[in-house]
Amino acid sequence: MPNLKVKLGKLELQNPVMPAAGTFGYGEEYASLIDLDKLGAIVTKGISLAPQAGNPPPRIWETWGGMLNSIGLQNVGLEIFVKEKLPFLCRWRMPIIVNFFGYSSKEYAECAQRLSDLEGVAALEANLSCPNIKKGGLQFGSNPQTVAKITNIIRKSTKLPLIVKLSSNVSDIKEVAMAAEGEGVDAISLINSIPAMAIDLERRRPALGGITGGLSGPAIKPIALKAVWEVAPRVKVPIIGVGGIMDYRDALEFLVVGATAVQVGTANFTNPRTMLEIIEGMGAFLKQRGIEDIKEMIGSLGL
Amino acid sequence: MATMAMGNLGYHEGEIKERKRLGSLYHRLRISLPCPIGPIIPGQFAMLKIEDRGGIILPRPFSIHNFEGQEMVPWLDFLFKVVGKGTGLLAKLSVGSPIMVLAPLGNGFPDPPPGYKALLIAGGMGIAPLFPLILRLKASPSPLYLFYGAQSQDDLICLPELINLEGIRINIATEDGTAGKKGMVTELLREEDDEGGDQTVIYACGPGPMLKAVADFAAERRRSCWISLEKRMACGVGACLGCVVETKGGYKRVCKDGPIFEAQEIIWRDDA
Ligand SMILES: Cc1cc2nc3c(=O)[nH]c(=O)nc-3n(C[C@H](O)[C@H](O)[C@H](O)COP(=O)(O)OP(=O)(O)OC[C@H]3O[C@@H](n4cnc5c(N)ncnc54)[C@H](O)[C@@H]3O)c2cc1C
Ligand SMILES: Cc1cc2nc3c(=O)[nH]c(=O)nc-3n(C[C@H](O)[C@H](O)[C@H](O)COP(=O)(O)O)c2cc1C
Ligand code: FES
Repeated sequence: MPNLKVKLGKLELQNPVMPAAGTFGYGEEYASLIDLDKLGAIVTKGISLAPQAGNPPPRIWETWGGMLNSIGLQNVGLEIFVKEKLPFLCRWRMPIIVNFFGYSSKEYAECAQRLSDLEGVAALEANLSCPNIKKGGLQFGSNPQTVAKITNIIRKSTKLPLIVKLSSNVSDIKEVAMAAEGEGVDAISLINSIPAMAIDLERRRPALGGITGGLSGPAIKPIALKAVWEVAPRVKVPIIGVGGIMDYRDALEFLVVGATAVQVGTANFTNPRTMLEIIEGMGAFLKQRGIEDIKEMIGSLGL
Repeated sequence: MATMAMGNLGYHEGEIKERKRLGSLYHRLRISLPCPIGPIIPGQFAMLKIEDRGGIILPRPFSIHNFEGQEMVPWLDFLFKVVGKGTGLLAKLSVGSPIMVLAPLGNGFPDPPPGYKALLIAGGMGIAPLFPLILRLKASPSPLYLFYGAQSQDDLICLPELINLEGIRINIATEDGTAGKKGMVTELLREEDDEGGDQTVIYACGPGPMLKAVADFAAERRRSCWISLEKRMACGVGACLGCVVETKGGYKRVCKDGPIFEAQEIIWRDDA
């Protein structure tokens, strides 16, 4: 079997495949469907200091080859996460990456700090790019200056490996990514869902309760690939590719353009076994071609 | 550090065993499973994964309409109406086609306490999850009353199966008056249900406005009332938070915390 191990800074993964935040709940929802220990890591639903109710329904809408969501970061809040969700995750072997966000830089910092004190959390992923909340979210990831500022504050609040998750919805993603790297992040996740909209024609109203939402699924893969391809040569830290990955070939394409690991989101809804099939598929692909180490795939794009 | 025991929940590769067209818009599919699943409680649903054609990526939720046995269920029936792309594709599947089924999901209808009268209210497709409940309650001594409403006679899709069942009283209402009483099933309910009193449990499934009317009726008469709700779903297992409904206890997931809810728990909105 080829070696599938990769490293995200200090964080070692048995394989490069993990769920994308918000598409896998807190793990327990899928634990009866797949063996979580086979994953490279788990990434939780984004949490914040205080519980969030989220946006009014309807919250999801299918589009051609994709879906829109306006969940609005509904989550149980840090306290309940620690009491009720984390213990379950700690029963498994795979590293736990906690996705988090705040409504101010102070909240980001406090959340990061409190998560760092917990047993069992392997890394943090700061969501600087949610399209679904009015205040904060995307706003923090909108340009290099704001990203640098917030990353700096979060970095000082945690010793855990720090991943920042960015949006492609900026004028120059390279600059934004470099700004984050400049503040000492350990990895960068690219990309979040893309601000988008759908109309319910019968009622001539927005299809979503939140009016606009985030587009995800196969429809956004080409955009995500380009983002990774643009950023990879400009930063030294590893990149986690996210966006429209449905099978092992999609996942390997992200590695070829420079990602070290991948996150799978919408595809979990289509088929909860997708991540396991990707891991198996990657191994078989490498084996068939006599490639012994998955690292040989990373950034192997010929131009 | 344990590898958790995994139940038999997961996508099963089923096979279409039977398909029947009912009227111009309705279809009934029987899907056989590679290994029996269960237990199944009436009111639970399945996610059916429709072959990725026409840009479809999300599976679609459907109530379990009929099944045999309880613990070791070898096949599931679904009743559906063609309303869009997914149901259109489902309607075209032929006998022998494979289809992925994730089931059973969600909670089911609780049984009425012993001696209670069961009042079932179905609006159109709403008969789908109430049908197995009828079959189940038929075996108990509780008196069974069904109020079945639809737009027109042709939309009373399960009537032929129900009419011959013993021990159930059926009241029909159609909006165009082609069968039973002309009007809304909820109006019929107000006229007909005068006895039973506190010792009645109401079960309902149908369009939103009908459910709201039923909820109001139940609240007025202080009856306990269980309803089956529908929302667009993505994961079907409680992970995406896409299918929430507003309740007195905050947003709840229809797929995991429902689809059966106590009517008085729901905060009714026009469009949600
Ligand atoms: C728990 C649950 C149980 C259900 N049981 C049944 C059942 O037994 N039989 C049945 O026919 N339908 C049932 N539905 C509704 C069914 O899921 C939708 O009709 C189906 O998803 C539509 O898919 P489509 O691709 O054909 O429509 P789309 O192309 O996605 O949409 C076309 C139209 O269908 C309607 N629609 C779409 N999704 C839903 C939804 N989730 N609920 C209601 N209407 C929707 C809308 O009016 C929409 O404009 C159930 C839904 C839920 C949540
Ligand atoms: C229902 C849903 C909820 C999401 N919630 C979060 C979240 O809480 N935090 C976050 O950083 N990203 C969130 N995302 C974005 C995903 O993690 C991912 O970046 C995006 O869906 C693109 O990947 P995909 O095309 O594989 O789904 C969410 C996406 C979906 C579909
Ligand atoms: S459909 Fe995902 S939480 Fe209900």
